[in-house]
Amino acid sequence: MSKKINNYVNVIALWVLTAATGFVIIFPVFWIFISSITPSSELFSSPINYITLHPTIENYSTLLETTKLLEKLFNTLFITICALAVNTVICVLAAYGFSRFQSKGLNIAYSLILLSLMIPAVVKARPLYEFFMNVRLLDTYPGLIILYTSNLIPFAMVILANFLRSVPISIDESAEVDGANLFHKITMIILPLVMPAIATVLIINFISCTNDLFTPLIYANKIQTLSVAITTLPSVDGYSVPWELVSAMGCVIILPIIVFICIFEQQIMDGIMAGGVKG
Amino acid sequence: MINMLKAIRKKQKLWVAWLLVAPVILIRGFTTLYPTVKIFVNSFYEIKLLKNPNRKFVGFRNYINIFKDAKVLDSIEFTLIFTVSSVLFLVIIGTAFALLLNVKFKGKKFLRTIALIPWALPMVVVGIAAKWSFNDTYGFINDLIRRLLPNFHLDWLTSINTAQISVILVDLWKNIPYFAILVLASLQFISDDIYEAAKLDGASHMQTFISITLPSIRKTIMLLIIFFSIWRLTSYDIVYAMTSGGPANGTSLIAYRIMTESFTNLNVGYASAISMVLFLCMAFLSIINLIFIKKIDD
Repeated sequence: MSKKINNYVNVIALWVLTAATGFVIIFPVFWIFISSITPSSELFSSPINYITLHPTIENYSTLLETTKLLEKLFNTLFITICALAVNTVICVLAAYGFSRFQSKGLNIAYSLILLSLMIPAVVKARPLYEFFMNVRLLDTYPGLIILYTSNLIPFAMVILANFLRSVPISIDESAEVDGANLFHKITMIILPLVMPAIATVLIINFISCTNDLFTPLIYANKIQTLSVAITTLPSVDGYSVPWELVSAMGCVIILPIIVFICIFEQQIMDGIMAGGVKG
Repeated sequence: MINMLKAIRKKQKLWVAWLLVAPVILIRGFTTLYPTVKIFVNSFYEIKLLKNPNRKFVGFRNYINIFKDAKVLDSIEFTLIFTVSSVLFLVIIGTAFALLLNVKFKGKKFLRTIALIPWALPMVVVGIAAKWSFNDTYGFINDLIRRLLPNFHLDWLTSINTAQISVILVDLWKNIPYFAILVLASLQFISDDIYEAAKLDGASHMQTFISITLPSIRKTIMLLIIFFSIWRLTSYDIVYAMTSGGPANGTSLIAYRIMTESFTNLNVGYASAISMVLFLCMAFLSIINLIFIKKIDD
């Protein structure tokens, strides 16, 4: 009998904890969403109405009119997709090289790629900025794509190389017996096998790209991504936050990400855990 | 396995491997190695682009100046406070959250999905929303507090101490779930049989936690402490979006200070010296990390 009561207490405690956690995580996001559909005249009132009485899309239409929102959305997606594509191609090739060949030099190169994570973005910024200026890559799509790609390499390398190491080498050998050359081996045999790992890398790195503020902020000026644009929304007095626009733009960024993680919850979990602290 | 590798290596020469890994090494090497070398060299020069475009060798003077510069010392102080307190609470609350994520019950899927939300949101959006959330009159945080204490007023971001606390709270909100997921990865390696056996032996929850759970996740947590410390030391976005380093430089983390020196004040040599100090701190932590891994593996 007492055990049963004990069980009930446990279950209730569990759900109370779950509810509290859910509240702390979801409430701020909910507030941003509610603010974005509240008329701006009602936003600057206290106490706050958490259920808006006059829902409106006025803030979104102002956002579309006053900022080049679609252009920024395009910039973000274009740079992200190109960086993901380039990164996937070069990392699959490199993962094949690192996992199917062995030499001291290759091992050192692999460790150096992981160790390069230790060099923070702020330390690299000034010299890279000057170099990109000299070769006229500053504020260009190719320049940004190179930098984004570079940021994505370590995580992709860890996941893909580890995955390929678990693929038996006998598969390569039987392909060789059948007369496949290196190109065929990678595209016809290896590529289909590593697809799950590539999916994980794409999903996690997609989030990394959309989260990146630093790269577009420092290495671009005219080409604005959404992450930079949200910091440059015009505010009335220069100090306070233009909350009606910020919340709307925040939702433009946040809501797709939330839908994305609801769809890919399992893969993201597995990816974070597999990449471990290296991601 | 090794024999097979040898056989393959005979057929295909190593240059093929180097060709395959070359793009990755070139891009990554160029965007990390080159700037680091350059920073090291620059740190011994006086490069003040606002005054004149020429550089002058000054030896260790930039390094000496760091310890006379109140702004940098303030930044170092807050960076340490930020790192230590943030990592401390990450470990405590993050581990607790990981245990909750590991419980098998109907809410598991829900919890795991929402745990990903703070991790996936851009820090800049979180930071700029936090700037408004902590506003005295219109922010939701004081609004919720006022529903319990009707006359509560505090403008969090206008005085140094409360601004620092706010920055740390936002960092925790964003990173506790991520920390928890990484701990969860190691919790899942503990087999249910061990817990069953402990239960049969009449061990309490607390006893099970201390003598089974804690030893199995200890290594992971120690590694996470190192990595999260390194990330805290180089945090930039949060301060850029939330406080711009203010009030009175009270929240300007060292990364933010470096960017101000090198891109606003254009004091490039000096900024390089601060960068080198930051870099050495991180290298120090990484070496501890490596020694630590070796020790545990033995």
